Amino acid sequence: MKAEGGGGGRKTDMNAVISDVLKYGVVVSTTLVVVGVAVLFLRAPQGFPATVQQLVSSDYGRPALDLSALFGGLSTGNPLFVIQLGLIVLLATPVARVAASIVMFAAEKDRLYVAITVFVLLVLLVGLFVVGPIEAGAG
Amino acid sequence: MTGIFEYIVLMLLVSVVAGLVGALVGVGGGILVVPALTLLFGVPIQYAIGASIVSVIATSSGSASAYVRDHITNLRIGMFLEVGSTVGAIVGAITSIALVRSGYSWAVFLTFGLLLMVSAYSSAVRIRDERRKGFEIINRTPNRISERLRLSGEYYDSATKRSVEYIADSVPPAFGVMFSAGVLSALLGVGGGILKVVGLDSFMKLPFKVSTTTSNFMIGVTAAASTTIYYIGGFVNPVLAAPVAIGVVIGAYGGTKVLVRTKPGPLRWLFVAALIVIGFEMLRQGLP
Repeated sequence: MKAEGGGGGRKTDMNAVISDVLKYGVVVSTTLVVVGVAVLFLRAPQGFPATVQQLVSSDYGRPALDLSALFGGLSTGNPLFVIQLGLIVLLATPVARVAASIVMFAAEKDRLYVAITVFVLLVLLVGLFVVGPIEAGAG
Repeated sequence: MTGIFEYIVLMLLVSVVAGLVGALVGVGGGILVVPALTLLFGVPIQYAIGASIVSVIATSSGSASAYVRDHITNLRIGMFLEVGSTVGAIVGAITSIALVRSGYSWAVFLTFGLLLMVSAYSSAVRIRDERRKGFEIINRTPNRISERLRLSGEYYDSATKRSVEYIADSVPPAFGVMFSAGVLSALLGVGGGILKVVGLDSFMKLPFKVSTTTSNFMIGVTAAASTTIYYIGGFVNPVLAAPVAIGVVIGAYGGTKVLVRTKPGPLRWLFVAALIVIGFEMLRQGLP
């Protein structure tokens, strides 16, 4: 069998699907962050710190971790939460790319690479649901 | 004392440059973002890492998108090596947070600075050797591991208008390098592209464009493994991270447009020069 560039490129173009996941993830997240920053310039929320030092020392803008707090913040039009949503979409982009890769390798009936990719996804989920909460609790 | 809005504007400009350079040499741009945040704006290292690592995902994903579509990136090699790099990233994030919390962050900078110098040296030697022969070192000799894992491929080089075939060499040591790259990426909030390119270039002996683009492709997932930990740990401040994320996307997009049309030679020397400059910076930060 002739080796293909990137190992794909037969019926479904695996490269095009993965490329789209990455592209739209970055476009959506960046747009949200840009909108958030623009609103921040136009209408900074109450108690917004004046300097970087104040921002860091007050721990202002510490991310909301539960969804209800995030959507509550978004409904008030607070730009910090718009930026946060953008960062969450950005963070989810590589995860979605890995998930898309699983589907694509499965379509190619490549069991070895389905297993490899599932393992990578599990590592990402361990970081999110196990290690992250432990570090948050230790702070 | 830097005003917040002043910070946003200045950091946006710095990040555009970081993204551009990062895309050109196959690194995430974080290696420029972290020093800028700590030295120019006095941001504590853990928040600098948090802001930087988010931007690393943006740079990688943005430019990887184009390379993947052009079939330059090798998806199987990338996916296989991500097993090592993501596990490394989890280890690195835990280590970094523990070191910063107990006041030992200097040791990390020192080690990383030394590693950068070693990487610069080995890359320079390799480029010099190639110059004499006049072409890249590309492995085409089959081996059992790469055959089993299908770690081979072919890409069309638009600069020379020729199709280039390759087979991954020395897979186990390359895998080890990827684990280390994951640790360092998470430890310092950088892409770890420096080590990834060394692993793909020096060990696997892939064509330069395949190694940089596959490195770029892997960086996003590697960074995501540690970013989730930094994010939930409270080290990703949205105000600090926002201009960095926007800036590197703009810069990386510009860099992508340049890379696809450029021959690799001068880029590699730029890569070596960047290693040395950043290495000195990291060493200086680690010394008392």
